[in-house]
Amino acid sequence: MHTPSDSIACLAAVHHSYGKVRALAGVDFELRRGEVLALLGPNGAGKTTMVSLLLGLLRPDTGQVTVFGRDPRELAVRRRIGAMLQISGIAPNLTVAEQIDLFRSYYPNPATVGQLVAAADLADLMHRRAKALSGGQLQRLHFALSLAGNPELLFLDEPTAGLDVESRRRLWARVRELSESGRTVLLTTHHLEEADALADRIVVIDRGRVIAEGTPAELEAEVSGRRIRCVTRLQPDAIRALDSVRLVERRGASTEIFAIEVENVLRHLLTQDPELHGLEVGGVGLEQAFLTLTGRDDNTATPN
Amino acid sequence: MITATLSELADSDRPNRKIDAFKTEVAYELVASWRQLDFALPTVLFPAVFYLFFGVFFGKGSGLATYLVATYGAFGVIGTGLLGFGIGIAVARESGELRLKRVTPAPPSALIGARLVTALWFSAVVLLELFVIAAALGDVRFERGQWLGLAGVLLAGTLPFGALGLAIGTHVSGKGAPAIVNLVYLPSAFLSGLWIPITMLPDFLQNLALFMPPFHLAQLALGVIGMDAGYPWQLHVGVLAGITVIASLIAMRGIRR
Amino acid sequence: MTTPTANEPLATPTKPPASKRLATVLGLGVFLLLTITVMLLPTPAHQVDATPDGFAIVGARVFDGERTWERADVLVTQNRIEAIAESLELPTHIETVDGAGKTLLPGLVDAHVHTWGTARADAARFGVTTLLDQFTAPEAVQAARADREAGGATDRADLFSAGVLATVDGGHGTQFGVPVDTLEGPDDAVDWVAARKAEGSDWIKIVVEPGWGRQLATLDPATVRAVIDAAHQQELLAVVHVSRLEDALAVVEMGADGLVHVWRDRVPDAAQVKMFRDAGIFVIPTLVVMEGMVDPAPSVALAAGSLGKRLSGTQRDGLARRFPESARVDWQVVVESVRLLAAAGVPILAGSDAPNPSTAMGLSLHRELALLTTAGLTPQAALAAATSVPATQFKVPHRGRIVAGAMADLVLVDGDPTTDISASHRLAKIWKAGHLVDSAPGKTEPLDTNVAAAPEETLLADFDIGLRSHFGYGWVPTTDQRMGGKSTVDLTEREGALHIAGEIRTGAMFPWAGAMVFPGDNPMSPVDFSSRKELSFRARGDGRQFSAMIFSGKAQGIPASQSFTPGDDWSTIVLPLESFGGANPGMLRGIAFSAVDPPGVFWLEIDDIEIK
Repeated sequence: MHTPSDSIACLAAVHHSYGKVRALAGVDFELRRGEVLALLGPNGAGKTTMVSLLLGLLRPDTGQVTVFGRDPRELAVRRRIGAMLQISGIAPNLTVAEQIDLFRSYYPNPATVGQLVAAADLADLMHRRAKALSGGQLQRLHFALSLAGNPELLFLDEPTAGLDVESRRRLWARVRELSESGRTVLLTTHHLEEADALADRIVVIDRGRVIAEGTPAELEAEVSGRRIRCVTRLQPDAIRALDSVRLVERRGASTEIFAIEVENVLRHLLTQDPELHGLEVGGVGLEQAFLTLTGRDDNTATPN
Repeated sequence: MITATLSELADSDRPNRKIDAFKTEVAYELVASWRQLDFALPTVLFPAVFYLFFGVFFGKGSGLATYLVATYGAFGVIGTGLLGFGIGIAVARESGELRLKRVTPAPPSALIGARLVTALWFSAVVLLELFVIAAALGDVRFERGQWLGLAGVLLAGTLPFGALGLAIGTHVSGKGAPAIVNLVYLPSAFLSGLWIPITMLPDFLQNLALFMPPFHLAQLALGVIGMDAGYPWQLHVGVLAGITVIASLIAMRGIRR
Repeated sequence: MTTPTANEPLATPTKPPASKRLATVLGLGVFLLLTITVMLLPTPAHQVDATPDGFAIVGARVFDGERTWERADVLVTQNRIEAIAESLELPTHIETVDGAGKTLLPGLVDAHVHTWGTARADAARFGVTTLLDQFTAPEAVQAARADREAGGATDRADLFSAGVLATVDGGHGTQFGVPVDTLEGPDDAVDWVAARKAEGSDWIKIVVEPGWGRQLATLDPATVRAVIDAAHQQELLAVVHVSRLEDALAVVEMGADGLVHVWRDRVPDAAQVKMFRDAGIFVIPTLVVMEGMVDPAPSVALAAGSLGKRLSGTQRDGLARRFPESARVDWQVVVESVRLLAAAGVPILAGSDAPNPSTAMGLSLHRELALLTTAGLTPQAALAAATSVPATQFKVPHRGRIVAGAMADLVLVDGDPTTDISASHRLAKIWKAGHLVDSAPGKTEPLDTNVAAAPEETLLADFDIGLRSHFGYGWVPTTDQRMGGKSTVDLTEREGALHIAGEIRTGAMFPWAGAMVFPGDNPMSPVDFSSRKELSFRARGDGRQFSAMIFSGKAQGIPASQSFTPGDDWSTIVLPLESFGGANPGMLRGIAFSAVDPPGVFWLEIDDIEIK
């Protein structure tokens, strides 16, 4: 259990809807000082909504949102946070150097230009206008801008979307450095690998609810050993109809099945398809745990 | 509660920091606008080119050259206000630029203020061109007070149309904004007597002009040089003030969305 | 691949991008450039420092014809007002007139006068720089038109005139000796108006006067209507002389533009006042001439004050003349009628009807201003009635207002007539077309080249050689019959003296009968007596007052006169030529000795007439 003074931001019983579409349905959430927390969930799970609430861009329908114990819309809060938004733009005609200068002017104690350039590896791009940057370069610029105010708390909403592997790993290194220097980071991702690599703690959300929470190891333990692989003539739909089956996927000739109670499932499969063969039963990595928990076949969550 | 860090929040601001921040915002708003050539060139050139054609080539030394200084001046400043705010805000809103700035401590008033200064800057350039062309090529002569008054009235005229642009820009998409803004701008400019003297329009159109916001700015400007249609100036100031207030309220609703 | 750390020293510049500095410089620069440009842009050619000469009245309160500036500067160049502003930046070479404690007014406009002789100069001495004449000879109109169009430096008021008036044979207007082209019926109207327009009439005046105390022939309504219509067709205003409310209402209905007198019989009711208001007609009440019929004392008192030194002898005589007993007016009716009209918003114009009895050109307009305030006009409204309102109603351009481009007709008075109308009397300076008007009467006019030199001899006539004179053309009888009057006279030589006998009869506005002598070779040809000082003669008479009149100057107008009252015994009378205000001994054309009002038979004998 953490003491309240560790809490740097929290959502309490937050509901939020966009018209008739429910985005968050009773979320309780806490971000602790100094941690790197990954909000993990498939697209549409409610991650961006949570970030938007914490940034004061949205107001909750019901429930409470506080950052540093205050309303996130307060100026005092904004001076202490930085954010890299998934949906955001930037003046297309200003150069990288100009954007950095502009954003630094917003904060009372900004990071130096040198720190920002180094953090986002922008030294070669300083005189390039934003509209001439590639997707990855633009992401790095946004990362630099999120650090312009020397923030205590950093929000990174899908920070590595569109980055190549090399850039991604470099950004991970930067986030670790930020964490080591005592900053708190809230990261949203649907890359399990990213959450695994960076997060002290992972909060899994799906369909507007928190469905699991813990360190990467705790989550892995919760869902281990529950994968069945076999070659069967049974249709995936029929298998899905069975109790406790979370996911059915055809992979070439074989079928992969993820289930909570493997024994019951095996019993059914063998009864209904006597010709079933090539049977393997094994544990799953965090990757599988995530899929299992969210119950989705989300290809983007599958590492290549 | 995190009371421990509240003391850190106590403003470490230097007194001038907010002013410096605003100056920076204005400077980059200007730089960004200059580089946005599809905005900057028409805004800066059209009034002067139109005036050269209608005022100088057709009306040199006549009342037309004099009349059109005021009305193309109005045309120019209405353009900087309407286009700068209407299209600029709509695009910035759609691209997410505004969303990103909302997360920073930069107050929305500073962003709008910087845009207003930018619009005023373009208005000043338009007036500078027009006045010099009118005096040098159109043989237009005004009393010193009239030149000053014309510059003052027209620069101030940027404000109501900036507000009108803001109201449109906060409610339409970035793609739709140019079409909608121009649909407001160009016909109302014509019907308000900005391109050709209002008295040359048919009577029913002249009556219609009373309902056109640009008409009221043009009449104020024409009043400075004694060529207005004779309505009381309080009417024009009242209408423009009303437009500013109502458009600002509509814009505020749009910004909160 | 090395990953730079946050603490690594950097090659990147940390000073702000150059574009920011450029934006700051250019951003402020454009506003500065606009300001500088606006200060340097060319102004119209009548720019103050480009003008060769001029003067400015600085720091006066200014009533500009419509409103009062508590303090303003007015710049005049040549004959025009160049600029008016609360404060003007004046080039150093401009002469300034300190207006502190004073009020500057537009030159005053008298909307009802009759112009004879020296009227235009007389008016200007009193700050009345524009005369709207409601009946005079067309020759006077034509001569004055050239002056007013030239706009040159002059001591005389500008004249705008109706010229000859529209009346019937024997009607009001025919008694003054000016040949009048009368109308017989509606069919004459179009040609009649065209003839006036050709003569130079600026508008048309129509007389509807069925008589006051006695019957007079007057135009029938159909003809009045036809003349009004013809005037409008020929783009002239039509103003009407009425004396009865019913006639006023009738001509309003016919579309008349203005009334040159207020009626004097009845106070209108509210509905009638509304009719005048709704018709948009203007009224020139001419209160001062009507006051003269009941109580001339206030005008006499005015002449005794500071304005008096501006009066010529002829003007004083005019002021001393009285209307016949038959001229009556109900003063309460007149004042109340004007009060109701003014309160309803009917435009009221100040007019004096000078030079009628008990009035003096110029002076009487100041009395009219005071009378208008007693009829309920504010002092400022009264001033407007004598400036911008007549200019607007009679469409007289560039007069009656102090605005850039207007004629520089200006009156500077001590004090504040916008709150105390009597301050209009305290004339400090008067400018006509930018020219400072001399306030002294009787200023001699330049000599004609064809003026005959005075003979050596001073004795003009002693009647020892019959009725002939010692030099010049000689003696003729003169009566008001020349002006439509009925007075008679007979000249005979009796015992070496001239015996003048006759009868003054009513009929003329200014009845007279007497003897006239022309010192030149032809009647009215001028002789230069500028080196002589006095007119002396011996006379005896029946006890009545007689007038000695000197006809002189360029124009043949109303003579300058001096009164004398000889007893039954011979006495010598010496009249200094100077005492004939307005007379020009350098161009002496004739001398008359005649009886004037009141009516009745008279005799006068004169002898030994000398110009010494």
